[in-house]
Amino acid sequence: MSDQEVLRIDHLSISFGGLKALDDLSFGIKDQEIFGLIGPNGAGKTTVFNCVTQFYRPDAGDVFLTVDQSRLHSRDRHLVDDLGQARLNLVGRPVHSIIRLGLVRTFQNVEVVKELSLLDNVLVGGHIDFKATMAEQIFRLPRARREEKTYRAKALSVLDFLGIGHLAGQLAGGQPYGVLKKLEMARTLMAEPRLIILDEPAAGLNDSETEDLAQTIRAIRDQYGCAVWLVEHDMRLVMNVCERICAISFGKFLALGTPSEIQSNKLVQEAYLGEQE
Amino acid sequence: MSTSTATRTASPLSLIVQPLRNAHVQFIVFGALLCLLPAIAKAGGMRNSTLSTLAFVLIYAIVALGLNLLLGYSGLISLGTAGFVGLGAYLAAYFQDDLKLGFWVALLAALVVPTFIGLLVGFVSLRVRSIYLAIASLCIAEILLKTFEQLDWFTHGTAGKQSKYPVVFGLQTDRATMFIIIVIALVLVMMLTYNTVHGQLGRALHAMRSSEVAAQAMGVNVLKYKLFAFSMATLYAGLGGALYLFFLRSSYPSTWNLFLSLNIIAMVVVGGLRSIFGTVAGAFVIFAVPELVLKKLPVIGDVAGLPYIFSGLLIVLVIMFFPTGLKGLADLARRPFQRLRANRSESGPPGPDPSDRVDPTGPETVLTAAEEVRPA
Amino acid sequence: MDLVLQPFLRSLETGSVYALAALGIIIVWRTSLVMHFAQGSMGMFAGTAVAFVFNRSGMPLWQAVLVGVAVAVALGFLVDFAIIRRLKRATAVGKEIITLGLIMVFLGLAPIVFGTDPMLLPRFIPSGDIKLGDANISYNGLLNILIGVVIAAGLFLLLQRTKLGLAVRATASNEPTARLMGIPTRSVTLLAWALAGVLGMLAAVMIAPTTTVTPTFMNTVQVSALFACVLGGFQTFYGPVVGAYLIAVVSNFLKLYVSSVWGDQLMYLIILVFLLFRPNGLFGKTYMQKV
Repeated sequence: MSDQEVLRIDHLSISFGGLKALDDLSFGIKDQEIFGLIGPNGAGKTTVFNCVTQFYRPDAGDVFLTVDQSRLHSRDRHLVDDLGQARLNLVGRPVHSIIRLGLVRTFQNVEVVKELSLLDNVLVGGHIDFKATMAEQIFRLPRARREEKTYRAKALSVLDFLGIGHLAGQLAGGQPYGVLKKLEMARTLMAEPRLIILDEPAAGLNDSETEDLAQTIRAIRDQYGCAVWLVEHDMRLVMNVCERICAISFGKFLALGTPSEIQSNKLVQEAYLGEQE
Repeated sequence: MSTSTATRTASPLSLIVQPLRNAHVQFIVFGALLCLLPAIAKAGGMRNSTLSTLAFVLIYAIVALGLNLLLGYSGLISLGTAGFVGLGAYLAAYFQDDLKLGFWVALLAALVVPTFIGLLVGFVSLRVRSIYLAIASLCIAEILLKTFEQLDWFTHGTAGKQSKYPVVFGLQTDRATMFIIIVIALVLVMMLTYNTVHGQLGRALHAMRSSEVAAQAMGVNVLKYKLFAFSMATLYAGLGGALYLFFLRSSYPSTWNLFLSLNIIAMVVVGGLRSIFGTVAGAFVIFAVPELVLKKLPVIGDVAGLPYIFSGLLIVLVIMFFPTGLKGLADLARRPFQRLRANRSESGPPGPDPSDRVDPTGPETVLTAAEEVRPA
Repeated sequence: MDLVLQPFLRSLETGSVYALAALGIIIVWRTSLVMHFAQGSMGMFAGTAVAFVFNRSGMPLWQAVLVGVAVAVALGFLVDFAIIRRLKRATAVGKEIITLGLIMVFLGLAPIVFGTDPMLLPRFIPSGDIKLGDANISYNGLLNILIGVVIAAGLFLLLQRTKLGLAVRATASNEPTARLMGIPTRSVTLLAWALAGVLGMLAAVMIAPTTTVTPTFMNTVQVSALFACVLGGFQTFYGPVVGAYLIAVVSNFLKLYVSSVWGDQLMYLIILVFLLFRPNGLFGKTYMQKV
């Protein structure tokens, strides 16, 4: 883990119909870090994700992502620093352009294409890699065929890495929940992201699957060298796998620190106890 | 698995069956069989009027394949199909007969202009709710219909535009050769449609249909793919219009009304969403069955509104009771055979492309959805 | 003749017809989230029933209209009861395509049930008009405007002030939650379809004297009503009503001052361009999708 930040959330605020969902929230995530965001129900955790990935447009504040030179659009090239990187503000960019910059997410209620095979689903995640134009694909011109072959192999290797390679040809519909969760992660890995956002990855998993998930998250970080940021209710998973944790409550920043620091933090304890009353 | 396949391919029957697994080979064989029809008609095995009816089935099948890309993959409805088909027909006539620019230029015009207009309409309406496309395309269809009635120099108004069989590659066509040209166009369209939905393009369309939100997160520009689906629908509509004109050699404004658009939707729904052969079968049911069967029924055969009721009721009944349409019916019929084959070879059959199979968790996701899909 | 006031008064007359049809569409949209494409053809069917009964039995027009109300309510009940409510798994798109299928069913049925001869339907008030400066408006025109305004206003009061209205609005905003809160959402939806039928029938009876009663005589009304909803936005009940009057006024003035042939088409183009700049309509708000 280096100390360089891959993502910086800066004074982020958003409100829905007068209700402040996020209130002047700031924190950063370091390169190759496993980072957790926790908070009682309704604290605004998923809203943070949605503001970062531009599904929601924040009312105020910025989201800076550190992007490699190779991923940059030519018009952003002038922002590159000595290390060959640029800090881009994501706010206002189209949702579908975010993945190109190296940031990709999963969803709370697994969103895979049931009618496609596991392999095809992973290939959806490689969408930005395909350079063949629509016409080339319709007429099956050489570049389209070549790309299909290359990325099919890549998708298979990702599935193998997550231990579900043997299911590659099967339809996603009807697969057990644990497999679908892994499929969603496989799909994010196709884009070789610098930061993966996991929205409640343990929801719906049993104890052994959750243990398996913790190992998978570490393996992903080690193998792909990316940062992983998760929002999670399962405290055991968060405390077990995260290196740093940020706690929020009612859209406000509470604390940031190592798992043990967070566990002993008075404000965090109050926020959670307050919820139980 | 490969060894068992190898032993089975040794039998002479498999030598024929194996290539038929390839979708493109299927389309070509289907086309080749259709090309026999004009000869059968010439030999007196079929009435010329029946051949004409079948030609219109194939033309509308091309149009319906375009709409199936739109409806089946993006859940978008177009109510302007007839307008675009009509525009294609009039453009073909104008460029061939008035400007005397020949078959190919006429065909090109019939492809390019409707697609361009479609792109404009799509761009305006697709940024809001999906249903806006239906209303905007209805808007453009009304404008086009009025144009067909009023723009005398272009369409010859309600008197109708007359045309003649085109000269293709220096060859004067007639009914039989035009039929074969239509078949070739259909087979090409089937192959291109297959390619469209079976590559990364198709996966992106699938992702968009399944969840727009997830597709966007994967980098799919949803507006671009919706526009693509709609422009394919208008492109095929334009092609259908040109072929219609070259085959019938006339066009009247009253043909291009809302009910043709609704009938095209019926073809897609009845045939089965996202199914290529199903769409062709749907076109046959919606267009040929009223012409060839219903009209000949005693008592009710003479009722004017019968084809409308037939199409309308089929739409309602299919969505209510059998949303996979004829495609689903074919899958049901094939299932016992597949089981039989699975029992015979120990390791199981290689099986068709997974996307050609029925989704086990629920047959459709555009017309119907599993109940638990609704998020809390 | 007053060349501004006169067409304006005429526009109010047709605007009322469009407004009633648009209200029918919007009330179904708000309760079932389905675009009711068959609103016009169901109105056509019930309206043709009125003309049929009126011409065949010689009963007074108002009695024939009561028969029309019964037919419209029956049709609305039938469609919801026999089709929409059984579509447990159908998506909004599936239901919309069903309403498209219903267009064809009613269009095919009308000549079978009521015969193929075009029929005429007289005005409620056969003659007499009021002078307003250089312009004039017939008593019947005034009545049409009154019917439109009163029904629109009545519906607003019903929706905003009564318990029934609350139930409709609750169903519109979130059907599953409303059901859990004990609101009989099935009855609300049933009522919405029946109400849409009656509104369509009224629109048909009001427009019929200006044309002949054929299976396609409601086409313009249906198209205008759909555009009125787009123009006014789908989030409010008053937006489409305003949109309906606006469409009638713009269309009339375009026909009078620009082109009698291309007036409607020009207006359709204007609506498309309008969508480019205000995609959610005059009174629509951008809504946020939950992720």
